[in-house]
Amino acid sequence: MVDAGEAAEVIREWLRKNVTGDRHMMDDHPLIESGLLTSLQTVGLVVMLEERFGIVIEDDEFDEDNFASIAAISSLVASKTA
Amino acid sequence: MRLRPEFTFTDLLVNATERDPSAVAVVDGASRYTFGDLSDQSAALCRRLIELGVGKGERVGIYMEKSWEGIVAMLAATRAGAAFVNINPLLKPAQVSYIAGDSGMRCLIADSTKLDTLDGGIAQHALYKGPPPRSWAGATDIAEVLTGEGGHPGRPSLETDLATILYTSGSTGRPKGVAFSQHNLVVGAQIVGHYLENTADDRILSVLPFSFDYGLNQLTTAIRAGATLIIQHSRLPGDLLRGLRSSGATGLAGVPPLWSLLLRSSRTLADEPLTGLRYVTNSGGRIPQANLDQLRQLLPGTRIFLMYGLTEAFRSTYLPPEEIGRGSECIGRPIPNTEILVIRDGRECGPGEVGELVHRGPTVAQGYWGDEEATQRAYRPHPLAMPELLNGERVVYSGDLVRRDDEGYLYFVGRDDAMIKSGGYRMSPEEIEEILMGSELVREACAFGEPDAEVGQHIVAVITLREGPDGSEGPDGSAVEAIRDHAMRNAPPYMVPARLHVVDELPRTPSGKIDRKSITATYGAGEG
Repeated sequence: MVDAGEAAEVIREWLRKNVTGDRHMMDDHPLIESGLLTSLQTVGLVVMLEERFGIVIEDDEFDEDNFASIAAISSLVASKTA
Repeated sequence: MRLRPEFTFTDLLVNATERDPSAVAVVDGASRYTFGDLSDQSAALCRRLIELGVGKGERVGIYMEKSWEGIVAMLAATRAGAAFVNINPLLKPAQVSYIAGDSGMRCLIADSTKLDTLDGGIAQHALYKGPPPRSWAGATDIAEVLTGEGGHPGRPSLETDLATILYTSGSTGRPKGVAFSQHNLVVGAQIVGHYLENTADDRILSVLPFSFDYGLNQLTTAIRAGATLIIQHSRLPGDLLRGLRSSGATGLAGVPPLWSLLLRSSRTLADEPLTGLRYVTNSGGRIPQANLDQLRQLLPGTRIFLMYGLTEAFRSTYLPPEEIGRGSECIGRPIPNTEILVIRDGRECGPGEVGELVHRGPTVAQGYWGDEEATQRAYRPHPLAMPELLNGERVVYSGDLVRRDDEGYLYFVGRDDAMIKSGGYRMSPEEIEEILMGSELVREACAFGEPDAEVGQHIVAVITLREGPDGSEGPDGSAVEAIRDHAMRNAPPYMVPARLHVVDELPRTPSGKIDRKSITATYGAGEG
């Protein structure tokens, strides 16, 4: 069981290393709509989340609704590990 | 039914409307628009553009997420006799203002959220989509114009008139605008629509930006065929698959990364095949062979067209689907009505010999907007023309090295300049370096492309840091993060280096210039 807050920390750290640099990212900041996260980077994020949390993100879950923000992604992760 | 000869983009629209005004032209989210709507609304906006004083040949900027309004804007500008300039919505204010200045646009049509990021000085008139922008007093709401009564049918124009300017980069310097005539646009739609066999029954899923010649081509071929264009924003695998299924798409055009994204859904694709997908096309870079093999397996009923083109000549070659077994480095044969020469030292190469791809035919564009020197380098007289033909035909020297086999099929070999190509986008090292320098943390930078199976190349930059205010060098880790953040804010994501190496000193050539070759050899992963 992974708590959404814990998942959010992991995602924020990954974003800092791989995408955003030192900017502090709010949980509800739009990641995809703002053009911050490219589609291929999102694939990289999914691979990391699947390995780190031992989950499988299904094809139809891999969409803009579920990856809109740190909050959305972390709640998806939390729901998969519940 | 009286159809016009196809001279201009407007003719394509008029004919499609004449054939069936109630056919669906564009699907944008939950909204469907017919060719009648496209005709009426582009006439309404054409009238407003003329009232705003937009003259013949004038450039009209379009800076929007792909939308119905953006499509209407292209056709409205065309009908007004103006040239549209599609600006990639991923670009940031610095790049937009460069394009606005270089093209000399006075009128800009944009999403209001995008207008709000721009300095009001870059255009005299603005039309916006969305809520009123905070700045830009006097801007016009495009929704009011499009729903208004009474349109202007448009000014007469010739096939030799300027139709559009598409911005792209080369091996050096800043982006250049490639100028296309109406004839270039129309003939591009005719040629591609011919070999893809597009008809009014086609439903083309549009995922590429209209600022890209390849992306714009889906729109022009759809209108010419009377087919439906479905706008797809998200490329995430779940959305992409839903879009393909729910739209009943028969055609899809992509660049190599799109196929990687689609193949993420391989299990679902195997369980429920996309039986309605008649064809897919790839351009903008070589698709990895493994991805091509997997696509062929998962889309057994779909014809796969591998294509090659460069913006300067729109489209050059395609590999007929039945020849797909030749492998993903094969770029096929010339498109109809086009000749491809392989030139080395001014003469045509024999089979197997590597030379520069030189394109001859009616899609050869009009040159780089306002840049005579660069135009003369790329657009040159036909090297093998008869000397008695005095008004020498111009051909495009691509800078791409290719070879031709005994049967006439062409194979991409590489380039021998510094141009970076990533995910279908072309960039010069200087553009990347300028962005990094803009952080004010970087003293010197050298950017180059490193081979990457998914996107062609990704960007690596080797930098030296400026001294801190106390005379010391800045702390590396935090400086790199701050530089990356600066790049993310001031450039589209595809221009942000994947890796930044901090060094004390950049190697130099004997003449004192930065030694790009040695830096690439030392810090790049090399071929592979």
